[in-house]
Amino acid sequence: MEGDTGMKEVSLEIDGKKVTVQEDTTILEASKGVGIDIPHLCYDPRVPPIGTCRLCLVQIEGQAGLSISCNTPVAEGMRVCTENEEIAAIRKTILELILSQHRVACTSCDQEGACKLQDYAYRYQADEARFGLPERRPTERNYTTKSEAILYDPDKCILCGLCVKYCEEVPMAEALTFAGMLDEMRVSTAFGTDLPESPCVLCGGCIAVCPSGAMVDRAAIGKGREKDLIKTRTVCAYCGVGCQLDLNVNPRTNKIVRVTSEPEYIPNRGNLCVKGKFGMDFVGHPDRLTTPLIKRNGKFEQASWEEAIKLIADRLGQIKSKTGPDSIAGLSSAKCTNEDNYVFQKFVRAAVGTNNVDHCARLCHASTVAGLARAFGSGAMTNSIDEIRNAECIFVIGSNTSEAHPVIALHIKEAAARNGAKLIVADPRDIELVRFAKLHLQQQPGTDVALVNAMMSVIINENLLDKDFVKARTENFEAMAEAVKEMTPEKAEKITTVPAEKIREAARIYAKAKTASIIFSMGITQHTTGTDNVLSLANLAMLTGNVGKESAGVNPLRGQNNVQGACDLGALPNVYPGYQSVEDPQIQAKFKKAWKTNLSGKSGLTVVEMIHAIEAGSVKALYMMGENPALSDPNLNRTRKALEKVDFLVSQEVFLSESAQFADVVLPSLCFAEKDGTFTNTERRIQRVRKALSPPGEARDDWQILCDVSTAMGYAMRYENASEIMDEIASVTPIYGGISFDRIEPVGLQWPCLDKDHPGTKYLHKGEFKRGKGKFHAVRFREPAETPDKKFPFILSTGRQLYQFHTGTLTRKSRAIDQKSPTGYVELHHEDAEKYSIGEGDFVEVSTRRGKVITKASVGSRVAKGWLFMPFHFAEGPANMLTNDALDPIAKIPEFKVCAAAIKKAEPDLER
Amino acid sequence: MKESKVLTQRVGKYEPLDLEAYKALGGLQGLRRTLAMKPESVIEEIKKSGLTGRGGAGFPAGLKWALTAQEKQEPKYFLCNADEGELGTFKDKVLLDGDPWAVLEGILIAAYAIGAEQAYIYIKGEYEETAKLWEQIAGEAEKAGLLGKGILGSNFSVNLQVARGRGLYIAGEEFALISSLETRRAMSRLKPPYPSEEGLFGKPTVVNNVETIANVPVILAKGAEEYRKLGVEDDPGTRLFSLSGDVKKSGVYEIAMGSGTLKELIDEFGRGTTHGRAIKAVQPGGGTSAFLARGSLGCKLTSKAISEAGSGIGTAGVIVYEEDRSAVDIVKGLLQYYGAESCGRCAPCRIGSVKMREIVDNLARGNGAEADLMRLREIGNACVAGSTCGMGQAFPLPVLSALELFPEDFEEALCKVPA
Repeated sequence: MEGDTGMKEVSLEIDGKKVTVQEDTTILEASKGVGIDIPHLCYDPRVPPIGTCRLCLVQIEGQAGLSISCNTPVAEGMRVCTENEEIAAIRKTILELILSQHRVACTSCDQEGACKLQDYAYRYQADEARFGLPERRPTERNYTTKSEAILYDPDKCILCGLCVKYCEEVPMAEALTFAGMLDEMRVSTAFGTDLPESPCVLCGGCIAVCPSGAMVDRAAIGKGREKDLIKTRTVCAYCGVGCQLDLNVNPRTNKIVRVTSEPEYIPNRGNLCVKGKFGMDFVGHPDRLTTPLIKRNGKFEQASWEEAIKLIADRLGQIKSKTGPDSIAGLSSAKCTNEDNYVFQKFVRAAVGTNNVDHCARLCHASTVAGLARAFGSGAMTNSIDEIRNAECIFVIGSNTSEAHPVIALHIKEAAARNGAKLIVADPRDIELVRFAKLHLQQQPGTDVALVNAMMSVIINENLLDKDFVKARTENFEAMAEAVKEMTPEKAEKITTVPAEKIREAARIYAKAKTASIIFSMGITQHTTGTDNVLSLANLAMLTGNVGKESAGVNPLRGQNNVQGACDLGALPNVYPGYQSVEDPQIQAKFKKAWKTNLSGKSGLTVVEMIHAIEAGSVKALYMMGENPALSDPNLNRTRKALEKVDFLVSQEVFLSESAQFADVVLPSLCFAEKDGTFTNTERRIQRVRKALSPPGEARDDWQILCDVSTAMGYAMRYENASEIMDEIASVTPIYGGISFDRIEPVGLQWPCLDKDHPGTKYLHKGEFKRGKGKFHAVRFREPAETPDKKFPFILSTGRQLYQFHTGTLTRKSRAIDQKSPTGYVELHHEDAEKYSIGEGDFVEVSTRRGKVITKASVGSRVAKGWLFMPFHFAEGPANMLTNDALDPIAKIPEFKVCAAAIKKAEPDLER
Repeated sequence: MKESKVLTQRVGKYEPLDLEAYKALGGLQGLRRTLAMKPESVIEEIKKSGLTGRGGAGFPAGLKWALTAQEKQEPKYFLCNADEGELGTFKDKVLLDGDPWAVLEGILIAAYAIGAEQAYIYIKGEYEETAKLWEQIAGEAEKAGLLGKGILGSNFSVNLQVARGRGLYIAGEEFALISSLETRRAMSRLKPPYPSEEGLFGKPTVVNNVETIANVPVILAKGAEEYRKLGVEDDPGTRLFSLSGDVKKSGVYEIAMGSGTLKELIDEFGRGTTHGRAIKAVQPGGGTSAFLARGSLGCKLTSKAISEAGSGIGTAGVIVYEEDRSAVDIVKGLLQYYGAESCGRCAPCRIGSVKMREIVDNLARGNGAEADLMRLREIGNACVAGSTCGMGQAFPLPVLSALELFPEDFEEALCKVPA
């Protein structure tokens, strides 16, 4: 029998039980499936079997000797005995041998109760002294001695090698290896390098797979064992991948002790990155806000909730009646839940009466939403994360996936390194993915349209296009073809610096693949030509028929944990929840009815426009929920002046952020670990956020605060819980129509999910585009707003790095992260460094027309000559002092990725 | 009983670097014939010859080549395993030093047959002079057009790299050898996949022992049928027996399979035991083979007969022990070596080999207890049943067989002082 994977099914008998499984299943996996637990210490479903513990031996009828079940595939008619007297005796002996080298310290071990070795020793009644007790070896220095994140105890290590294999196969960091022989054998880094200096990326996978408590979270030691902890499954609060993780909380201390995940979790298969694993110190941090604060005479004073809410309602009410509702603006938050965002925009639209609501998606993917809506009718990732692994070609452009979306990068690397996918990376920098790529197109920042148009001109010239798809599913092909015609690879080479031949090769690889998936992120979107860039990619996909099918599509990776949800729920100035236009009278009427009030029919202001409007005096009050424009927005001097100038500023926050410090009233809210609700990840999967611990002080849920303010302003809002808000969302938002907390409990659902029976949508535009026909756009190359000149000869890009997140408010509170990434830097090419006599680690002054900062030099060949890169996470040396607030005309996204800059060697600023 | 010098026919007859002398003594005929054949036909010829591996495991050589040749992955590699590490085994050295051109000829034929353009010979670390010789042989071969592009005017090209071991027993295990060549730690790997599927650098690879490969030119020169005239039906050809231990004359003797008995080998070639004492036991297949007691020595010199007697032909390293030796001391000596050589991959072998050594050392010092004998059996069984590679599966066999055959020696060694 053949299943839909083309894989045959076979039937066999295990311990007398009939089992039918796919032919590539191992005996161990097949046994697991029917509840037979064959003991094993070195098996993990995420890595190929290594078979070092030898506990999973079984007897196969008709075969001499025993076989290890983790590496033996099932076969038709096979009869397996998983345990008999001989096997049990061997297992007991192996366990006793292992115990002779394992310091049995269960009394003080963090793994106690969650230790496979302990469980099996009990099951087989292994005598830990049968072959002698291990010699206590004096604590010696090892590769983790200096690590704040991980502790390795060789006395507990059973040398199964699973950590070494995981490191090699999953993050492909190859940081770990074995050193020494026999009694002296250890896990180590190459040459025993200290972990922080090794290629380790702190994913914590070695801790997760360790069966014997030899690798542990250093910070968790002594803070609670399995039986002391309550695990709450929730969604990671960092990027848009939406990794499922378990917060292990000690209820006695109300603290997160450690973060774990499980291989069966979607979409991350139990894999985490450094931020999810080691970046949770912020949750119970002493700097958390615990009471409302009101600024009096320039100083914050603690206040009661009643006092604070009354003040806000009064001031907003005064401003509204004096200068009108459009003189008030709200910044919602991609870090908050769907429920918070829904209530926020409802508060701004219904209680204040304006569409001046936006959030930081404006700064990351506004151009994606605008571009893909125009081309396809829907601005989200077309495919699921899980489909990446099976794509034949993956075209990553403007996404440093390994650092910004590390867990998605695992899928890309697996596809390229293990499944034979052809990976093309287009990025100005020599990023980690290049190591796995067939081609690296190192385009000059800001020249993406030229590059993509040239690829399309090759595809059209060489007749590699999908004519049937173009004819049946799209419109406006001729206009697009006319526009790209002039962009020959040779012409593109002059603009992009990518050799013409490479452009041709990339075009051929992409066009000839049966399934080709485009993955992009802010390298595409954060330009004054952001919308054009996105439209070009949509053109490319449609031209080759690579959209509307599995493992092929256009996939923007969303930056914040809930930026997809914040957009979906209408924290945007032009649409209500579900991308329903505020200017469409019919839709307006629907919301008027649902919300029982009058609504403005005029699109509101975007993030940067709000700042400019404050400057111009037309916006008098700004209400911020969890946003930090004083570090995240471009041209910070201008932004900070505006925050200072605005008459009334409210900040709902978890910390007194750079922006909150400008506020008149600060309201303490909850972080994700203290909330119930939902986040929507980058693949449109709506997932449950679950409360794991009690909040600090008087902090309250964002939506509750908003309901109170709204009610005080005369527009009553009241919900019992987050689930009730989701029910209201479902009633007014067609793409969320079938969503309820009950339905998404196990693994979430991907929108569109139209009604209670709808199964959700794995990939978009199957058979038909959301807008009917896919629309080609004639896009021509335009220069960035600012190009290098004599005074500012460098091109500066900003972006993220692996260890930090956004403005660092959360990640910079983690000691493990701080050790690896203590401060900001500017990347420059070694030849430029030489020219300016700048050495690695020297202080450098980077300046643009808007400002200057001093930071450290990181010299190498990661950027090409004449280009610079700065991460924007650091309040000291803030990159956004330099960036250009020139906007994309359609999406109003600022050009973070290109501006003209100058550098010079600087003396350290001793003030800091 | 007499020797049948086929592989050793030229040993001592020419200066090792003298290619012309090798040719004059009939060398390169196999290669010349090979280059006129299709690779498939060469493999077919090896299959027909019935040649089995001489490194210990006895896998059919023709099948190994065929499995590798049929893989679609490119490139393919050929590895000659000259890391002769088994105790009591020193026959490969005789060929490497005494008739290196024949070994090289075999390597070239194998590479041609499986479609490899890169071959390696991995020489035991202790064989320093041998390695130096081979560096020179490789240089001479290149000059003579036997290595490099267009060998002997054909379209066939192959390069040879001479690699050195660093004194690790386990590096003789095929995957450990591959890892070592890849500049990784010499460690065994899980099978499948076998080297024929994913070998050196993940590509299809044949690993053949020196003696195995030395048979190849002979088979190709005179044809499988002629080759099979020596030996017996299911064990054709000759084998190089390394004879050592308590015998008057140790050495390497090439014997046609089935042409004599173990007893005859010891008496006629070894000229009897060193002190004229009776034989207590013999290991017929190297230091990891089970003991055969005096009563089993009449068994024929074939793989099958030795297996049936309760041991294995292994590397054909015959180690003789006189009757005044205690089994405890013999086993102690063996574990001195094997107890320090596990690659550390599999738990039972890594820990068990060290523990067995400790227990036997303790017994030999007169400090052992009854329970120690049980412990030895438990560890031995766990290693044999539960190890990935030949080392873990085999090193306990002499210990287990000694406990079986000579229990009185162990009883006697136990501590007599009441606790």
